[in-house]
Amino acid sequence: MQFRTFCTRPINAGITKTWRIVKLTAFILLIAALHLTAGGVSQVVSLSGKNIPLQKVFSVIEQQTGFVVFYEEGLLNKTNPVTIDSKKTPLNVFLKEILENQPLDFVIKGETVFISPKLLFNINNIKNVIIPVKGVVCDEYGKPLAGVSVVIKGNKDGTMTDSSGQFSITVDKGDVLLISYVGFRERVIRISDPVASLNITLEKFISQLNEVDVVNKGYYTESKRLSTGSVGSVKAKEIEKQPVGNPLAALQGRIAGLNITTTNGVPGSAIKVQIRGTNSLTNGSDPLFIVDGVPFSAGNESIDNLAVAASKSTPQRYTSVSANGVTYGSSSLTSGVSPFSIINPADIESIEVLKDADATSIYGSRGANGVILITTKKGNRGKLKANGSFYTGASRITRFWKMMNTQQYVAMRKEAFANDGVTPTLENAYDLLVWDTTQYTDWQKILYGGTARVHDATLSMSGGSEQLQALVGVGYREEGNIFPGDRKTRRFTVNGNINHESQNKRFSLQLQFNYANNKNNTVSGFSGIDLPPNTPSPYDAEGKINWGPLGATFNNPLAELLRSSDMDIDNLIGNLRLKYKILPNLVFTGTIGQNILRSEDTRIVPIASYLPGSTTTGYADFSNQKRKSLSIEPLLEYSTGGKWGKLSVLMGASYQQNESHIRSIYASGYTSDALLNSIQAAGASSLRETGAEYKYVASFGRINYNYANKYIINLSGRRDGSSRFSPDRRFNNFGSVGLAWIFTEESFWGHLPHWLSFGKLRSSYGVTGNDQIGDYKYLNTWSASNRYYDNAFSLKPDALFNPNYSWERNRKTEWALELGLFGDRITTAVSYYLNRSGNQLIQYKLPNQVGFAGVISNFPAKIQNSGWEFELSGDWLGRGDFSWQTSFNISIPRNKLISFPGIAGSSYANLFIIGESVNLLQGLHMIGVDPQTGIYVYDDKDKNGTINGISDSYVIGKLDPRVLGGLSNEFHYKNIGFTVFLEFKKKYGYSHYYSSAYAGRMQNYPVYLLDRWQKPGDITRIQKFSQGGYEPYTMANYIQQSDFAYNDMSYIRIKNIELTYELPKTWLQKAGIRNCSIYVRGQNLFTFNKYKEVDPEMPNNNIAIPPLKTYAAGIQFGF
Amino acid sequence: MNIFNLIKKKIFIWIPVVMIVFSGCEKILDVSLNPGKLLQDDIFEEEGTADAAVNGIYASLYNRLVTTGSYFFPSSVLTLYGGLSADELKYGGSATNTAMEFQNNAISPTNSILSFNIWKAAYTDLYHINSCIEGLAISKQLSVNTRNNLLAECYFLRAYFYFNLVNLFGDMPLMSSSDYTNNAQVGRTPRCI
Repeated sequence: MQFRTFCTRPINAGITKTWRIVKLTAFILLIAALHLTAGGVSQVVSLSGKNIPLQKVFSVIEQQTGFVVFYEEGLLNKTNPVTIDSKKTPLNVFLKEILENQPLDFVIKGETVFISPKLLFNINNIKNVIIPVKGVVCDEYGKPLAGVSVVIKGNKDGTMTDSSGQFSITVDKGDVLLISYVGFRERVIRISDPVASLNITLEKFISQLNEVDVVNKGYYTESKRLSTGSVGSVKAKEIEKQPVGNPLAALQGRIAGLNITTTNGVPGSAIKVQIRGTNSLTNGSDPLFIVDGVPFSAGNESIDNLAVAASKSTPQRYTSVSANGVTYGSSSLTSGVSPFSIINPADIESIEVLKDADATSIYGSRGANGVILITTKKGNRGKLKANGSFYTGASRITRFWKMMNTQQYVAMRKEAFANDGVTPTLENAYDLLVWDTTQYTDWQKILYGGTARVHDATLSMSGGSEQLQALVGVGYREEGNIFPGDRKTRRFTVNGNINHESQNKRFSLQLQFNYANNKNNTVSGFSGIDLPPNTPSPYDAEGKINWGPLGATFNNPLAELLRSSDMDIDNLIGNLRLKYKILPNLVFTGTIGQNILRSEDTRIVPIASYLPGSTTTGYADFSNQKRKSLSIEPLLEYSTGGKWGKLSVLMGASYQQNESHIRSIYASGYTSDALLNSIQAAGASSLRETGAEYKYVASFGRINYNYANKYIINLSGRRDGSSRFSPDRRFNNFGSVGLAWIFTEESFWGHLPHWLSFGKLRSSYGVTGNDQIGDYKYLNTWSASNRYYDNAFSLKPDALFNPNYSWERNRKTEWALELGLFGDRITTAVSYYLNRSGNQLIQYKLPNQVGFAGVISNFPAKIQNSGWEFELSGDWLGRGDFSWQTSFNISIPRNKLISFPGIAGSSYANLFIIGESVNLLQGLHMIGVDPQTGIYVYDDKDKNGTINGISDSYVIGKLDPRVLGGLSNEFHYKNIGFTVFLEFKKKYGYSHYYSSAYAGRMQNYPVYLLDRWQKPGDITRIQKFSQGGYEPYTMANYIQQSDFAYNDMSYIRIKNIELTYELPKTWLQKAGIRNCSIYVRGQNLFTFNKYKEVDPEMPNNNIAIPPLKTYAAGIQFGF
Repeated sequence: MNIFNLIKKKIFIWIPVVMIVFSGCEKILDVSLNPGKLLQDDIFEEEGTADAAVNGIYASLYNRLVTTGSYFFPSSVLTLYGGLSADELKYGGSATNTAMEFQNNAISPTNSILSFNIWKAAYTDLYHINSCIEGLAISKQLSVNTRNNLLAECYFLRAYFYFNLVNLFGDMPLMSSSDYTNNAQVGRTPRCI
């Protein structure tokens, strides 16, 4: 619901202030315009007396005529008593008489008399020099503009241009005229001398701060201009330009403070989202995701249950907390299939990112990590329109490793054996002795060198009357992958929307649904780009998978083609919204919505896919998943206003219920590949089952007070209860206060400098909570165990339980300055935030004698996330055929652990350091390669003679991005449009050395490892070749724990380019086409970073695949 | 006759209604447990689950050996490492193996067999035993026979554990309940009490 007033543009303030005094809702204002219709009233009044208060006069009218007199409270305070002598005077004449010298006006409608303040024009304001001014107002093309407001600044006087754009007004010498018109840049003209006629040209602009530009905060919207909070948004226009399958991928670099990490380039892969840093030591830092008002059932959790290519992991530092304590280290974090990969980006109208306390505390215990709102497209009024878009494209890997060829490989192996003093034998060197040492297979090209074709088509139709609007849309996307074979991911989506409003506009209804089916038929990924280049050819003469000669076999990765990993996912989001205007300014809204996600995973691994003789049985894995989320939210909104300001009050309640259930069957022992699809044929099977239920209730409210569009205060709060906490700790209160001061509205500036059109200072403070800790943890539960004794099932306690834990609290503070320059052609915002999350829920370490290593408990550890965000958007040239718009954002986040009482004695002592980031990286320091032995040497910090991961570790760096942002430039010349979007990130991270830092064993290596130690005295970066010697192997294995494996992985990437050509309308009209454009698009096209070896977003592409480079061409049309 | 007052009155009627309906009632937050989970309070009120809970102690003793292949307190540890210490057995593996310390009777305090295979395994099971005893003690639905039967098994197991622990280490922290806040503070308890 938005609270738009009739005229809130400041340029109209002179007129509107007077008007706003009336402030008796639109209804009464409308009648006020019909003032003269009161003439025919036949009721009469008789009254005589001296100094009768008006109140009394009105009650006499009510008594004598039966009419009701309506007026706003306090309106009569400044009125004078009346002296009157009238007999049987008609009511309207009577009213005119008594109100003649009062600041009041009246209107009679039916049997009601409405009393309102008089519209005063300041005729008494006569000064010395009066200058009559005449003029004409035109647009840039010389077309006269009618209805342009011409106002004397600081005065109530004003006029409007007539249909020929002309106006005349009298001003005092030195007065300033404000000429303004919606959609045009305001002009300020000082009149010091009489002029014959003013010719005023107004320039058109598209303003960021326009009244129609609303900020969606989920439960309510407000104009961007008057907003007290920090909300970033990406619109359909920007999303549509990007040929991506996942809407989250389209957000990368677009919003300040939002860090998007792609975990894999395989279609459907998870995309991690973090708003303003890590807020929790060990629990979730994911934002709350809401799609069309319904909390997304899967959040941003991966939805795959079996091995699929997207779940190939990428190394990350991780912390895992279980009943057995804390495990940590640099290891693999699986990425998985993103639940958002089933949402069609083309269906999305906008994505909002709520960041500060003002915007998020209305989400209570779920708002600590920010909120992401996804709003889908709605039907429009007007005749039926169809919009369609189709594109086809091709994706390839961004960068390949430069691997050794056969000559280099063979030389490397020989040198390795020589270095180790080992003689090559048939066992340890069959690659040299059995295999053909001239054979060459580029395994990387075979496995990752493919081109993934993508086809994407969407069609939507929308239209409707004043009362009823509807939209239906369908979409289909087919995406291949870069692997061998032709497995595809297919997504089919249908969405629909109906809006209905009753004739009297009091009742409205909105029904919305989005359905998607996604068939993710990929493979579980290929490992093997590091196979020796001289392996026997991948296929034998008969075209079968070649495993190599007996005794010199190799694991042929193409056997994966015989296996399958299929996911079939259905997702439905349905939402019904009913709105009823109880009173003109009191609106009830009820929303009920449900999201259901179901999936069926099948993984088939036949005997044929194994090295012959290595196994006699195959296996199949089946898994079913169901996730549901139901949400019911009634809402009441009330708004009022007057001379004292505008007040909006919102009150609502929320009920949410989530349930998830996953059942898997692992069927093994198949002795025949033909029966793998059948569970009955399995030799053995084991079952797994997990599930959870979660319920949540809340009541929330918001009070917004706006005085003269100058001072705004926004209070919001929520009381909520969640089943994740014990009954005593369930309910808690969260709240925030947001303040804004639009200082350019102040009169004490005199007139503003020409370049400054808008200025706002805002600040907010509030508390939100984080409940991402999993379900049931407060209960003393036991589990059925798969451990049997005496053929009977058994139960075991799960963990120590603590019924007293509670939310992690995040206190967020923000200050921001927003400016509009040159008539809002340029808008900028600078914000500083300081978020402190405390009450951290961690595994509190206990001595082993209690039975478990620790218990989950709240701890007064505090994490601080602070940072600067800067946004700028400019409309540089808006003249003629050429236009140029820019938007830029940059954020500089800082993460710091500011307190952790008793850290030294806790299990976190080696993981965190107070005063440093919680994403701190600690590890060994590599000194280099010993010039004498040619082996890596690490610093033995504690001088105990051995290298130890904990006592020898240093602070290596931190994995938080230091600077991130994006720059978009959009150019239009006549029918041609060109957009280029750059994304950048300054970060420290895993380098290519993490995957490969020494060579010599029976596998292929990148060519940079040729820069190795060869003889005593060599100073090199890379250790000598070794075919598996104990010391070189051990020392090289420390690399992943050392600073050698990390580097500056900053990058600038041309993320998106789009070139469009809009076909001339004159051609299209004959064919009945409304518009048609053709385009070419590219994603991840060029990347600039320090290391050319690898892609900076995924430096280890022998494990996971970086985001792909995509080219696409397509057509967009409308009928 | 003031429209504003009318509205205000109405809105204040709504506030408590909304509050009561949607957040006042705590029952609305009751959830069912995930599959395969039971509350301790319910386990000991039914014969089948109470039996399974006690059975879990034996299963734990038996399965640790079967699933991990290494030796844990009590029986396999006593046989193997006790045997090594008493020269009944001789260790044939690497000289650097932690088992060698038992054979040489020069056991360092950091030996992981002490902390992981004995100490941690013993107290994990003792927590399980103590939880069973507490649950059985307050059980109302179980027949007296069953309850006493199971309680006796638990009391025996607890005694057996401490008997062996005391033989291995001397005075040991004695845990007679599952209350971890208290248990975390317990020091060595003298043998004769």
